[in-house]
Amino acid sequence: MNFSAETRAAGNTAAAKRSYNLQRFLDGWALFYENPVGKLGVFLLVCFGAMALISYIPPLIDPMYHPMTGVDPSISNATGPSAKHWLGTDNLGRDLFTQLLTGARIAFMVGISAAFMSIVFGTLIGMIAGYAGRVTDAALMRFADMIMVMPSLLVVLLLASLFGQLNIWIIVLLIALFRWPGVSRVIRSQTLSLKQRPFIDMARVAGASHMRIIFRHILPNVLPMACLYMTFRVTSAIIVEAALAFLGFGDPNTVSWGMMLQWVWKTGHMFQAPYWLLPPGICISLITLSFYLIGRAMEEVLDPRLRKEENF
Amino acid sequence: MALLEVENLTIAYKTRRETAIAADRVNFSLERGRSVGIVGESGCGKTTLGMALLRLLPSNGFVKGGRITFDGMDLLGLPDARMQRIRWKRIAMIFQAAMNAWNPVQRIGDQILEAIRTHDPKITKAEAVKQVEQLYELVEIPGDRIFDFPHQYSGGMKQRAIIAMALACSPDLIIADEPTTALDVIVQDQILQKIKAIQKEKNIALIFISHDIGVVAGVCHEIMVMYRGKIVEAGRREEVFEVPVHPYTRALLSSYLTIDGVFEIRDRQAPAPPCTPAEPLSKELCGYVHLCPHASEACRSRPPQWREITPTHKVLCSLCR
Amino acid sequence: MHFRKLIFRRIIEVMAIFFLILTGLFLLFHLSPGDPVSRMVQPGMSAEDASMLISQLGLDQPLWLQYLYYVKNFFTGNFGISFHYGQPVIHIIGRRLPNTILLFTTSVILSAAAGVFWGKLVAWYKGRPIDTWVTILALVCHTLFLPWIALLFIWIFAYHVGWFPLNGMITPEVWIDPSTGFLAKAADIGHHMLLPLLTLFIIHVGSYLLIMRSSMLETLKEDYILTARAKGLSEKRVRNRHAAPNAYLPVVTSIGLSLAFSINGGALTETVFSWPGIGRELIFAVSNNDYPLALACFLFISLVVLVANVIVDVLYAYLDPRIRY
Repeated sequence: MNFSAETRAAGNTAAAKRSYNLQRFLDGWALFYENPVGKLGVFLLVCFGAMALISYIPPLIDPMYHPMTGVDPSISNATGPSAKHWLGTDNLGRDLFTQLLTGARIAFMVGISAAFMSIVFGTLIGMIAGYAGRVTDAALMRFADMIMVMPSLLVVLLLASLFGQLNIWIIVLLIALFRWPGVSRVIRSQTLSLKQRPFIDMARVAGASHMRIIFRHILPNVLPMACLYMTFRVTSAIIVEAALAFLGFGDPNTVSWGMMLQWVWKTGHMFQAPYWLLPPGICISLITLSFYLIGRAMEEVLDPRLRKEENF
Repeated sequence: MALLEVENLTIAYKTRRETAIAADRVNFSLERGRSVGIVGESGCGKTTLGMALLRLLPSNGFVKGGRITFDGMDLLGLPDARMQRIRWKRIAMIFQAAMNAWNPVQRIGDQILEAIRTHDPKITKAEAVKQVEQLYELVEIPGDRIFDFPHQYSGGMKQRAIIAMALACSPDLIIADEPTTALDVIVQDQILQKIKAIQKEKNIALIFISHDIGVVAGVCHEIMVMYRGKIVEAGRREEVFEVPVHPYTRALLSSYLTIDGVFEIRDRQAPAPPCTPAEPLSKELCGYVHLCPHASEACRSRPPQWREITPTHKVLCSLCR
Repeated sequence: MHFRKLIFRRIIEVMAIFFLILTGLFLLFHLSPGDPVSRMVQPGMSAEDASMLISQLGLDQPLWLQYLYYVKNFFTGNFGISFHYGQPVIHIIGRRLPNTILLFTTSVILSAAAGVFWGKLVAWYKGRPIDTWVTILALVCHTLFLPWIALLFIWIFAYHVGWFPLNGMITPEVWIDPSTGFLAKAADIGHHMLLPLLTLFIIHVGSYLLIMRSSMLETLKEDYILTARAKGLSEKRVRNRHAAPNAYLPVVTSIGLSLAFSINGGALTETVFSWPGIGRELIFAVSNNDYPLALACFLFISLVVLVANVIVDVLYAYLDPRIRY
């Protein structure tokens, strides 16, 4: 049969596989980059990344620029944009521009860690459910259903009330805990279809344990899908954190965009200070847009059917 | 005057990289009540040809040149509204994948009624339903299944229902595109016999598109062989099937198995390799030159000419005589 | 027939999930740090009121019995007394729930209808300028931050232009006056509802439009669309009778999946506009550590989401005959 040919092929392709994967990655990147949607997303993301990095600088220049504690001694209420304060100050005299930059930092941190964690949970659970099948599968998917039905924001709120004041990492963990069902479903169905493929049978015949099969064989194949979903999870994580901060349940030691909105709302400056009200909201929307665009462009790369190429 | 005359028809597709020719200067004509089969591998352009006749090319396909004359009308020049009136009423189509040719959320009966009532607005619903019942009798589907949904039909039933729908407006011409490919062999045979009988009884012109020359030979009066967009051989059924001249036709025939052994196959060759549209094709030279066992210098430097073997049998080849 | 069995099964599933949530919250309350009793009985209450409440809620019983009390209390509507309002929780829920249902249902229906309608049109004109612009607009709407848009609307339309009230659901003067008729009252509510409705509409219409658009584009590639065209049907008929009914299906599914998310948005909207609904009540209760009220609000919100899910499933089954037959 072709058995010997396959095992032979499997033996000498460790190097070949690496270069094949590299080639695929480069092809994918080229396709991704061609797409104006992807380009715009990456551009925006780079802008925000720059913001996040730059945010460390202003406090070093002058302590009055510190987003939380820096107070301009000459100002004691909200003022509009000026040379010293590019976006103006909030009602305590703190620089708004620095706050905005710091918000970018927090957004990335929260978004990426929460997304990463929820992808890890979701992928693990999806793979296990798809691979184990029957009872385990049914139980896990019911559990996922239950989580999906609960409005994530409100659950996190409830938990916040029960467990006391939250710090940013607890918030990240809670967000991750409630966003994994979506990705687990997709990974599960991918696993189910992969399970039927001959190479899984081969591995089993060769004596591989279940763990090994899951991590060596299934995981690499579901990884692209998982990464794709991660981009969407980032957007929802950022939004949930912003909403929590907006409602007053964020970490009081961090300055996120949601927090800025909370301050402008609760201090009653909503109507008089557009320079305070507008920038954080615009930033949240734009960063959400950028991740979404990147996700869509990635989708086109990963799912050939979506490509713009017309076919015969 | 022939019912359908196709002159120098060239069809192309625009892709990201280039404009690809799917059919190259196709010429043929069809009389009323006669049937012709178009045979070729996947990708050779036969389906495109069928679609072009109804002006149903996808959005990136277009007719680059030539004429299609149907019953004296220039089809390519017609305004959309008039073409819509011709579709189904004069020219109908039996599609390849009957599985997906039915709208899953509408009842089959309603979809057939829609065809009837679009082209005959004055007919009453009761009369139209009666017509559908008669059609179902013709294709041997029980009448009580008329108003079921597509997912409740078997594959063979769906195909027969497609045939019924194609006949619903009594067209002059039916284009059947691989109507039996997706079915199992026994059902295939039933459907083919049905198509042949209906065609004879109602005197409908038929264009039968298939990759299976054996099937085509069993159903059609004439055969045309297509390779990479060009017709390479055309003639009466007996001529092409028993005395194939073009090397590609002969390769097709030698890869065709028959149990009844009625037809003798001469000059067995290696089976024909599949068309590869990805390979660049010089538009003028013979497309088969890289695979033909008889290819000569003449073939590589000059375009092939049409040669007449008999008044009804011609072939596009530099060498054949 | 088949349809009824399907609905029945779905309702059972939903009830099972609700029970899981109910139980989950019970465990949560007892596992979280702090004294569970103080979570249900306000510290400042008089001793005899407190002990009456404790026995009613079964807080002095072993854990498994407490659970049974808890379930029974749910079905009899006894959720304890709100710390903040000093009234039985169920009364507060009774007053707030209808407002949320009014706002939520109206916004989902309107944005779904509009999104589907425009998505269908836009897909048909794919590639042309109108498609590009509408898609960009939908994308922008989809990524807007809801509380921010809400604040913006209040600032522009209520504060600057003064067309709409700043907050609330009713104008007290209108309602106190005994001579105002039903229509006037309804108009008053409608007037207050417009801005919150607009906010929710804008946020959701974008995503429904995008989903309908891509669903239509997928559907248009199907073979039966070719059949419909070959039958000589007009393009309009092909679009509306053949493509759209099939394209609706994935949209309905995704509406169902996004209901929990929509409720999030609903709660935020209620808070910003001071619309007296159950979402806002939950948020207030959490801020005030009013545990009985918070717990009950959450349970009822989950119930709303689950019921909405069932309705969406019924709609799907109605639209897709493959499910029913």
